[in-house]
Amino acid sequence: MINRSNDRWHQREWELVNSSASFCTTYKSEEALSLRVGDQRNEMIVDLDEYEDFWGGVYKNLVLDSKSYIHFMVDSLKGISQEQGLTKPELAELVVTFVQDIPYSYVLSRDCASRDTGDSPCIGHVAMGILSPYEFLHSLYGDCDTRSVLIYTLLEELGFDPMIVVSDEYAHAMLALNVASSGDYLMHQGRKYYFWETTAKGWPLGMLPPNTKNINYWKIALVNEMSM
Amino acid sequence: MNPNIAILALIEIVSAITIGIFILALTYKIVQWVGRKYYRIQDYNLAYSIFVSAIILAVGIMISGIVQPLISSFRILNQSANTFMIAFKYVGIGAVYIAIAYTATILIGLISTFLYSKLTPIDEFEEIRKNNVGVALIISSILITLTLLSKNGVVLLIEAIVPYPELPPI
Repeated sequence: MINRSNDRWHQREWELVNSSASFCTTYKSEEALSLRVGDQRNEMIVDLDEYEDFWGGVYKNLVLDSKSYIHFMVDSLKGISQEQGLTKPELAELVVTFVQDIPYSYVLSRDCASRDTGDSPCIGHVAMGILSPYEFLHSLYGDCDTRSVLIYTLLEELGFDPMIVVSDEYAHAMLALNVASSGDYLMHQGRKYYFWETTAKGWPLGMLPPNTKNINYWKIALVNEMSM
Repeated sequence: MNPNIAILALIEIVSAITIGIFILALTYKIVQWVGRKYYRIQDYNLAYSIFVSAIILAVGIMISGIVQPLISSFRILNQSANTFMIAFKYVGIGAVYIAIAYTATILIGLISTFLYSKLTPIDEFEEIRKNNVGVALIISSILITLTLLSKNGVVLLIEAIVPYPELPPI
């Protein structure tokens, strides 16, 4: 029998990158569903050699598995956007700032004691060191790729053309988005995908942190090839 | 039209043009003054004109590196509401970045010409004064090459003082 006593109500208030507006959303997440998607994630089989291909396979599975579970969040963000009359770039910013606002946590495949996590919370012994979007929304434990996968799923459902990029050299994952902007970007099929750091508040679209500036170290892990 | 991008584009264009005109004009005046005062070099000296052109090009190459950090600073500053403070800080930050890039270019110029003059038996500035175009071309090439080689380092140094948001230790 599944213990449902850890069902949770979450309330988040956050601001856009430029602090021009603040928003609020409330949602309920179920322990049982989180455990179920966690089991799905643990059973995932990805058999690819290249670093970015391997992670791309993991992310793709998580995105496809998650779409039916996170509609409540898509609806909530879409509702806020319609209510406030946000433009498309502002809607993207709404989604990303919502996730940026959630404090960074380590998600490790090994024990948390095995590395220095500073003051940040840590959850250990997670297969491949990543949580699925629903698990993230339930537990609020999210590292760089956990966040990127959630945002990717939300943005894709909202009609955007996102990308997840990974760097073996920087041991980091990040979102990239095909919208008009300025700053640092990656070209893919003639389109510009601007980097978007998701692990902390205040990072605008198109601004790579200075210690991850070498664009040659960033590889495409996941992109929707059907997007136009 | 996306107004945010249009504003950024305008700031980038205006910053580049104003900084460019001011810095390049200042450089030209300083170099001409130094040439006349210390080396008695006249304006019509072709060798010195080549050398001056290389200095201006080197300054341009180095100063072009501050545009992106400057735009990043503006985007970060733009998160605060006070427009007057944004403008004030933007000008202040821009001045600091220019000072760093300009100082770096001068140091590179001085070091490169000093080292080259020590490695060769001739007096390079005397040769330039005598309108020796060959010597001017070689010194100019050294200056531009060293600027290109060191530009990334100087830009990284400037990036280090851009007020980026904090990042967790990933």
